[in-house]
Parts: sequence; C-alpha cells; structure tokens
Amino acid sequence: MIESLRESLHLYFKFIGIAIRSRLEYRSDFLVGTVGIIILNAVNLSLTWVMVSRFHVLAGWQFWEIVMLYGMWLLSHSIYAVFFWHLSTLEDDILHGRFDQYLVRPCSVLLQFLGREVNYMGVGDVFFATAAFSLAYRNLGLDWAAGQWIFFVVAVLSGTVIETCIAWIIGSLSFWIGRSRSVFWLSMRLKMLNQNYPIDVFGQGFRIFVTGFLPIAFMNYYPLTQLLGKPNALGIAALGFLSPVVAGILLALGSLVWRKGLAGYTSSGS
Amino acid sequence: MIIQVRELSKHFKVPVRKEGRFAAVRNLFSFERTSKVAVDGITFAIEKGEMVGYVGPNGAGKSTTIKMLTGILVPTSGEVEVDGLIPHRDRKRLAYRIGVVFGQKTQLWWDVPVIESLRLLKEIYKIPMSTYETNLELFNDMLDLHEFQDTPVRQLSLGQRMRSDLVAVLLHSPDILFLDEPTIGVDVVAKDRFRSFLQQLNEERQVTVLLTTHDLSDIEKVCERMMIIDEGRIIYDGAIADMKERIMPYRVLVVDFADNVPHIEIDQAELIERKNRRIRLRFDRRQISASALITELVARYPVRDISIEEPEIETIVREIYEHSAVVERLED
Repeated sequence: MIESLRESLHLYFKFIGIAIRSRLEYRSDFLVGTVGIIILNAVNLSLTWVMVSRFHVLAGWQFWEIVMLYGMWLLSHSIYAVFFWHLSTLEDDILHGRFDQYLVRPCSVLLQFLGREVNYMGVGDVFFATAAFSLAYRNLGLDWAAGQWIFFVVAVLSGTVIETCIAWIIGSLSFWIGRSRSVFWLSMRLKMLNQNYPIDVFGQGFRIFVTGFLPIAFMNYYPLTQLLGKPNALGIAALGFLSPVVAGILLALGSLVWRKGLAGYTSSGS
Repeated sequence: MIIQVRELSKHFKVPVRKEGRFAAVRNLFSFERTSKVAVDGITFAIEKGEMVGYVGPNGAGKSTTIKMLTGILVPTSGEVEVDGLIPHRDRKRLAYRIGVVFGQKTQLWWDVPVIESLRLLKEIYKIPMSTYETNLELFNDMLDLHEFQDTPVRQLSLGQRMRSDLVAVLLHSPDILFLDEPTIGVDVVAKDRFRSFLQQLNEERQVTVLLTTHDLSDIEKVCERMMIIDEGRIIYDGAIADMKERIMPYRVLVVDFADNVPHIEIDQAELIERKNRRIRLRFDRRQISASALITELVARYPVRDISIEEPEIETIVREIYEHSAVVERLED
C-alpha cells in the first residue's frame, strides 16, 4: 500500500515534469496568461472595493475582511487551478476516446489523466492570492498563533480538495451524459459569487445551497468566520471546523462516481 | 495458444434516433435506447509468433474486437484469454505483456521531444536500464530513431510518428502487438519500412502480431493468415494463399497478337475483353492449367506475347464481402 503510493507519487511527478516542459514550449503564452490572470483578479477585487467603499461594511464584513475572504478562496483555487483545472475538460478525453490509451498502460487511469497537464493560469492566481492575503492580514492587524496557522493551512488545502472534487464529480458525469461543460460553468458562476462576497449578503436559500449541496462555502467562508471570530450566516458554530470533513466526504463521493463512470466506459466504449 | 477467443460478443446500447418533424428536439428528450451488436459470437485462436491480418469494412467490429482483447472493453458474453490472462480483469498485468498502436492517435506526449516520452514510458513500465538501452539501440538501427528523437512529436511527419509510436509500444518487450490501422496516412516508402520492420521483429523475437488495416497490401506482405469480419461475424479465417485458391480460382491470361485479332473460340476460357490487338481471357485453374491453355493458343493463333494476371487481394476481399451479403439474403 505505502509502496504503491510511493510509486504512484514518483510517477505523478514524472508526468508533471513532462507537462511543465510541454507548457514551456509556448513561453509567451505562459507569460501573457500569468500576467493576464493577475490583472483579471485585480479588476475583480476592485469591483468589490467600489461597492464596499460606498457602504463601508457589507453584511457585517469590512473591506479587508472581504479581501481576506477573496484571498483565501483564491489560495485554495490556485492549487486546484495549477494541477487539476483540466478535470473540467474530462469530457474531451472521454469523447475523443483518449481513455483507450490510458487503459492499455500498467498504471492508474486517474494518475495518467491528472498528470497530463499543468495550467499556468493558476500561477498568476498564486501570486495574487498571496499578495491579497498578506495585505489583508496586515491591515486587519492580525496576529495568529501557530494553532491558527495550522487551522488556516488545513482549511486552504481542504478548499482545494473541495473544489477539485466538485470538478471531478461534474467531469465524471460526462461518462453518462457525454458533455458536462454546462453544469461545470454553472458551478463556476456560483463559486465566483462565493469568492467575492460573504454569504451573509445572500438569502437563506442560497446559504443552504452552498453549505449542503454545492458546499463551496467551506472553501473560505466558514473557516474564515472561525479564524476572525465572526458569527456565521447559519448560526451553527461547528460549521467553522467542518471543511476537512466536507473535503473527505466529497473525495469519497468523487471516487465512487469516477469508478462507476470508468466501469461504464469499459462496457460501452463511449 | 497465446490468444483464445470463444463465442465472444459485444452489444452496445445506443440512443434511438427519431426521424421526421422536430427530430432534433424530440431526440433531446428521448431516453429510448436500443441494443446494437458490434461483435456477434466470434471464435478464433492465435498461436505464439503468428502474424494475423484482421480486415473488414468500417464498423464491422475490428476495433471492438481489439478493445476486448486489450482489456479496454468488457465483453457482453463469451470468453477471451490473452497470454493466459482475462484482459478486462487483469488489465494492468496484461499491459506489461502487450503493445497497442492506434494509428489514429499517438501515444506520445505531443509537445515534448520523442525521447522524453520514451524515458517516461521506461518509468511507467518499470523497464530495467539494460533492457531499455538494448531495445533503444535495436530500434534505432531498424527505424533510424536518432534522426528525429529530439524533435517534438507535433513536428514529426506521419511516417516518423508511426515509427516513434512503434518504438513506444515495443520498449517494454511485449509478447503481443496489436496494431489498429497503423499505416493510416503514411506514404509508400514508410509503409515498406514498416512491413520489413514487423517481419524482422517477428523473426527475432517471435512477437505475435494482430494487424488491422484498410490497406490490404500491408496484410498480404506481412501476414500469412487473415481473418475477415463483417457485421460482427468472422466470415473467413485461414491462410491468404488458400483464400486465393478457394475464392478466386480464376486467372486472367493477357494475349497480344501480331496482327488483327482472329476469332477466338476456346472451351475452357471466357473472353472478357477485346481491345486493339490484345484480348483478356479468364480461366478456371481447376479446369485447365495455364500451360495447357497457352499451348493451345499458340498452336492455333498468331500469338506475339502472353502474360498472366494474379487476382488482387482487394478483389478477393470485395468478392467475399459481396458473397456474405448474398448468403445473408438467402438466409432471411
């Protein structure tokens, strides 16, 4: 078990190595993409700033708290964006029969798929997220203890797992419905709302939806209310600690859907 | 027997396409499915070291068969065994022993030099350094890999890409090679090279080869045995030489005359064409030998030149397809 895990990781890094070299073949694309994504984020956040500077406080959240919400989401998202973004293009691999190639090699199909690509756009996200988070941390005059930093890191990683698994599950739907891009874009739009605003500004229905159905509020909102000592919109304090649990549940669900889908693929051949 | 297939079938579920008014909209809301038979109870066995051509028209079930043999698809019914393993159950174990080329898609990483892909495959298949180096050297000699090993795959010609793909699936020294349309789009020179490479490989390593292709000359040059599949059923399985005898016992004699063509009358041959000073006569080898016919012709007419046309394998296969259609119509 440990041995095979070690082997898988070794192979994964080899795959990623090739993926990085493939990307660097197109250097200017890499640079434009990275700079572009930083500008995109800056514009996005400044829109929030315009709004908050009007009202000073948005549903009990100050401007720098919102920046931190945004930064925390983007940190999780950036890891997802660099390594797992192509889960959203799973449908292409399925429809074009690229899985045939994966299936005739003595190595996990998932590993081959995940190792196929890295996405430079996420690199810009990493820079921007780090900057936004640091600025917010300074401006809010925070001074976290080691325990809080550990909580923060676990929450960010859980956020990555949550976003990755959502994309994984939606992507795997393509095994049945052929294309799932529309479902994917829908979830993207919802995620963006969650990235820019604390869910307090939305109605109860939306809050419940992003907690229980598409649990993206666990990527940034709930752990951050815990870290900042704020009450959360649903008034259930325990939610602040649940991000790793939600990540675990989604991981199990994702692997179930994936296995079912792959088994279906080998019986239908898409 | 390295490959053993018994009563193997594969049915697919496909959506029912509606026709008529608003068909597109009605298709959108229809979940009606019907079963389509891709492979219909085929049985065959292949011995170690055999090179077998597998042909049939588009959609006959060639690729589906190969996918079941390589573990990509789970059969609907029947048995399949490859090198002692059940492909879809022992997929990973089998992967070490087989090599698969899908001519339409490359196995290689598109944007990096060929050699980088090969190094990665070495890791995936856990190929020992010594084996890797021996194989690389051998294929280098046979396929001139060194000419383009540092070029990214996307910049290779189709012929070079086919050669790289072959190396990629042979690096781990597989016992069995499945080639699905490997020479598609490849020019004549590269095809020749591919054929002699396969023969050499088969001689030196006793690699078993199952080859599907549209280009029947590939099969004629490389394989001794051929299986023909049509509408999911194997309609011919046997030696290529035998097939020529059985399906096409006819030969065509081309005769040139010195002067104007006289009136020809020979019992055992049929005049099929008359043009200027040349005629073409079709005869059945079981009824009259070529030499007897020639002797008779030369004795009776002022013949200047004579040659014999062998039937093209293309013609034979077309004959077989049409034949099976006839048989089916009779069965209905």
